[in-house]
Amino acid sequence: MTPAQAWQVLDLAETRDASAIRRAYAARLKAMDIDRDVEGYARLRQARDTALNWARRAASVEDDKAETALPTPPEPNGPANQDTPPTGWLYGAPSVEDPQVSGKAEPGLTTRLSAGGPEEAPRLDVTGGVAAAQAPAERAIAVGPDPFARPVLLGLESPPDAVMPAWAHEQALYRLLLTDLPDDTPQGADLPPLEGWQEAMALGHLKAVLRHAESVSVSAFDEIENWLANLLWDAWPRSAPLLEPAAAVFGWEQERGQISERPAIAFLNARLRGLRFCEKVQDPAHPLHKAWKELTTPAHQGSRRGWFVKRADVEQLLDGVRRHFPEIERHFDPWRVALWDRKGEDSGGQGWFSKGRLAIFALIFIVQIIRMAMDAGGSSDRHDAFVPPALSASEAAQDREAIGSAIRQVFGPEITFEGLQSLQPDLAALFSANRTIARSAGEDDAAYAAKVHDLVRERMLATALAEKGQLLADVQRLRGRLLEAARKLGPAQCMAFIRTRRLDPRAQVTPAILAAERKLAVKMLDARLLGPPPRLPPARASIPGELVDRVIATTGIPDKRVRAAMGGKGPDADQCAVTIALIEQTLAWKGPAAEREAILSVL
Amino acid sequence: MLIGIDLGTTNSAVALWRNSDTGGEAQLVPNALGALLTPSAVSVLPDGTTLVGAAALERMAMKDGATATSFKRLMGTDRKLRLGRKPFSAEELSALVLMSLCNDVEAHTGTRPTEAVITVPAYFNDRQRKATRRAGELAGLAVRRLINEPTAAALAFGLADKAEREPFLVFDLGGGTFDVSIVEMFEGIVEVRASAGDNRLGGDDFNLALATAVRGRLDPDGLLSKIDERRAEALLLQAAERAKRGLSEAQEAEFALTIDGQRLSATVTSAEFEAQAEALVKRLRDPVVRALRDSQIDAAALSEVVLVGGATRMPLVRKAITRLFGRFPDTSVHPDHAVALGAAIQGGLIARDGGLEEIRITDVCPFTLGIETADRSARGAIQQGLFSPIIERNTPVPVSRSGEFSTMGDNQKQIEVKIYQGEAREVSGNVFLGQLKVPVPPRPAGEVFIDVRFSYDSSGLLEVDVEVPLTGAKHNLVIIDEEDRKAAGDLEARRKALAALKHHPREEAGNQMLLARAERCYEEFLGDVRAVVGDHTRLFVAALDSQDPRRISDAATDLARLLDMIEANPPL
Repeated sequence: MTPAQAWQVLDLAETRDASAIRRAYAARLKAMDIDRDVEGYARLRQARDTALNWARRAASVEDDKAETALPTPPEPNGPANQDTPPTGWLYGAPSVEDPQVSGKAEPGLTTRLSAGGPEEAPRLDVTGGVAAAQAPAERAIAVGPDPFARPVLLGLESPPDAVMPAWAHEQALYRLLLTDLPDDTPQGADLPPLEGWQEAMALGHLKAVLRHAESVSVSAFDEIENWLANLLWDAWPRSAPLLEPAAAVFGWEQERGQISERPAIAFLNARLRGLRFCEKVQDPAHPLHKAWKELTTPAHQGSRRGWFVKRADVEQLLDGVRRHFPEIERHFDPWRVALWDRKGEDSGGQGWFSKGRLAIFALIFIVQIIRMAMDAGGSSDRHDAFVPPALSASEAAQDREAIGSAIRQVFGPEITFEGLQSLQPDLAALFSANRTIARSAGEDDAAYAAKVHDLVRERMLATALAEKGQLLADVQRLRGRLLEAARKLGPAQCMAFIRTRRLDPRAQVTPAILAAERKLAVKMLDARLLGPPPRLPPARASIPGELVDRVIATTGIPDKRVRAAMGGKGPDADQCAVTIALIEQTLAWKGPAAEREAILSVL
Repeated sequence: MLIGIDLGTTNSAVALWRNSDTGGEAQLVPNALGALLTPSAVSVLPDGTTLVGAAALERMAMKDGATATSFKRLMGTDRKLRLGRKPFSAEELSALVLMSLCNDVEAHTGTRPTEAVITVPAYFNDRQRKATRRAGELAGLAVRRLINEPTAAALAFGLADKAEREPFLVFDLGGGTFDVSIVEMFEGIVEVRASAGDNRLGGDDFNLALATAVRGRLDPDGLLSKIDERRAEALLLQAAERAKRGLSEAQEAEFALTIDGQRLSATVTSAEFEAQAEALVKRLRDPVVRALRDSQIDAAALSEVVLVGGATRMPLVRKAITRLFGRFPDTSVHPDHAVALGAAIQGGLIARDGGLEEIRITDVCPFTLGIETADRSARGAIQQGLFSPIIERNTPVPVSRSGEFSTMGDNQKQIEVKIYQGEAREVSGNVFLGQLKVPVPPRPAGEVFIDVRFSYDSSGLLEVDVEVPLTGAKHNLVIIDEEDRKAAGDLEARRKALAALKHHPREEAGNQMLLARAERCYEEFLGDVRAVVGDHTRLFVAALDSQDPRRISDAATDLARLLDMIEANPPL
């Protein structure tokens, strides 16, 4: 609702007076029966909220003007601080003395500190908590020129916290997790785990932060909670040892499965459960302990399944992990998983007695006897658990072949599975996981390849939407051609590709397009741009009339139907044709780059 | 006549709006014992007569006590409590309490009330609200409106001085439920901005915590485990309630009870109580944070924190509140009376009584409402039982919103629209409200759309409209009808069954209360004391039988004095 409409609904002349707006709202509300006129009530509320917002903004603009008109107070600096008489605030905002620190961008910390709540604190160079004792607990206060940087009483601290104030603990924690990294930490990879002494210190600081959080008011508590959740999220898996105590204090698990579960909390809750499971399964008494050991042992060329582990256990573990804690599958060795990952050995029955296999079997038998001899304690019931491993070896080979050919189809011959694994491990894991699913669902290799191809296309598009720029144009150009290919099958297939991002496997994509696609895919893979798709907020764009006209001209669809199709309505054939035409025309259009980009982001 | 009723977990109260020359005010109605609060307790005597209130509470710890308390916690469930030979549902027990309150109003004003405004915790779900409504109907009252307890308290608080108010927070910790509402008042508009709560947290939980802390120390010989479990629990909880009250005034209190003449006693300190109740106190924070977050109001911007509900009297709760908000709460309203008074004010508003300038209350729907859907995951697997919200929690009501959904399978012939209420992402964690089957033309998956429109009005009635744009067909479901249709048939029968119960005559409430107390003392003590109590009780019963008012009154005074003496100085 625009402010103009709001004033009209409220029957009020434009005003900055909030109480006048409330009065008008009250008068209008009393005149209506809200139960009879639900729409009218909703409109009235919206009008009031719009008007109040407008008034607040207008007032703050005014204030800002008044503020800048005043002579700027002298910038307090370090030494001057010492002279300022203490004001009775416990501690406030001493100015930052180290230009290097103040210049350094610390996104996580900045968000926390600039959130503007009562926890406003200075950015001070506090290293590891040792120097913190010198932090200016009783030092004099300087109220900065920024009206929001007011000194704030932190609440009911116990004396030790005053010696090292809560914000110092927060900073120390932040440093330990995100800035004090070994020099050789690769960019973009998982952060290395905390070393023993770091972990102990981090836990100490965390304890102080949590104790502080429990002693402050709800708003401050909420703010600390959000900050800490995001910090732990950013620093995962380095922050793993801190998760359990933090979750206990903030009750994060109660939020699990709620619609309003915050993204950071959802992430941490999933990790928390995985963590608990990992911990439990380490215990040798755990029924799945052996299966866990088996799957985490690295496999190499020619590896076979472990001997003393029940297949049912491994399957149960794999199935359970995939269903409940997919993120801990990274603990497993992908090749080892591939060895186990299949169902129904009877499907490969024929050729069982071929010479080669018999030889392998004989060999295995001997090895088995030797192992039995060595492991005299092994009970006899383990015999039941033995699975002819020759089969798995052949299936693993089949899998490798299928994965390899899918990779060739998507990226061309220069990329191997190992290469993919080193460049984009999660995508490699996705390839092998999908292979497993395809096998259990009885799909053929072509269907598998099509599926992973779609996945890569989806990631390419998602990354392009986030990265924008030339990449977005390139990806959209390709997408337009793919849509064209899908349209040849029929409008429904074309729309299916738009909606579900699954290209019908019958679609005939020319080798030229495929080649262009491979080139782009390899380029993105090299730049490590094919990670898990980022979450994007829904975007909006308005399409200029010029473009609409061109779309009408190229498609030959009348104006009204084109507009309906752009709004996501109308028959599939229209929507499909308009989308393709719009992609082409936007790419060809010489309009402002930002506008072009906005349109390409919503297609 | 329209009355306002606070149907509480531990205590209930009734109030009415009285016009006067100066503008009128809400007034509480005293019960037969002259008290403004009536304990929400129902007891059935061996002869089948029902007792409500303080007398019933006295019978709670007796051998064949047959007393129910805290049944508000079972509202909206199918659980039945067996009292004597008859099972009672929570709504029937609530109806008995409501009837007793109506009797009090009739005795006080001479007119039988026919209509009522009943309060419910803001965080009561749809089922619990319906059960409360049915309880009112069972008691022969037309329930004009159910209003949220914190909203009622806000009305009572705001009307005390008619000033404009910045958003303030109502912190309502009752016997069994906890609610937080953020309310703003201006120009005769009472606007609830957000509500949150925990309908499983209240003073009862603190009693339980205290009893758990003390039990081992109190009873080293395991005397309590030798008696009937229900009775042991009742004795412990009553002792805990007394000790809790003691701790509100001093740093330590005696936790004492008497079984079969044996007196068990231990001292509890407030520090010990605090340690034991820490987990409960922590649970107070979550709803507060949620309400503030939903209303986008900073705790520092609240003009007041208003305390309502008896459990907010506990110093440890006050301390926690002071810490939560960084300030002292406002205790100007009577924590036990505000809700009933607010309900009476709402009653006055509905009846459009003079003396009340026009006030409009706008509330929110504290739960999310939506339907069950399925989705395809990234791996192509179908995930079922997902909850798709249509009306988000804390949306101002009345409200009407719609969502668009499509078919999942090829040639799907019908769509099942299952309606749920709650905050969980999977419907299994939410409350099922009703369902609607919508036939659709068979088409490929995803081609058939339906529009699902939810309309939620200010008394909590949800209406669901489903339209299939492809065929133009419209389907409608009024949720409240669904359950009520089922219940409508037997509602009349149940009302008759309740009315047919023998109720203890109201004018004898005082005597009945004394008799129950004497019986309890008789059970608690042994030997000479028991014999003396028995003798005096017999004299009192004989006096009652004589129907001579003078003789009854003398015997009653006599017995009361004896009981006071025994209870004040228990023989060790």
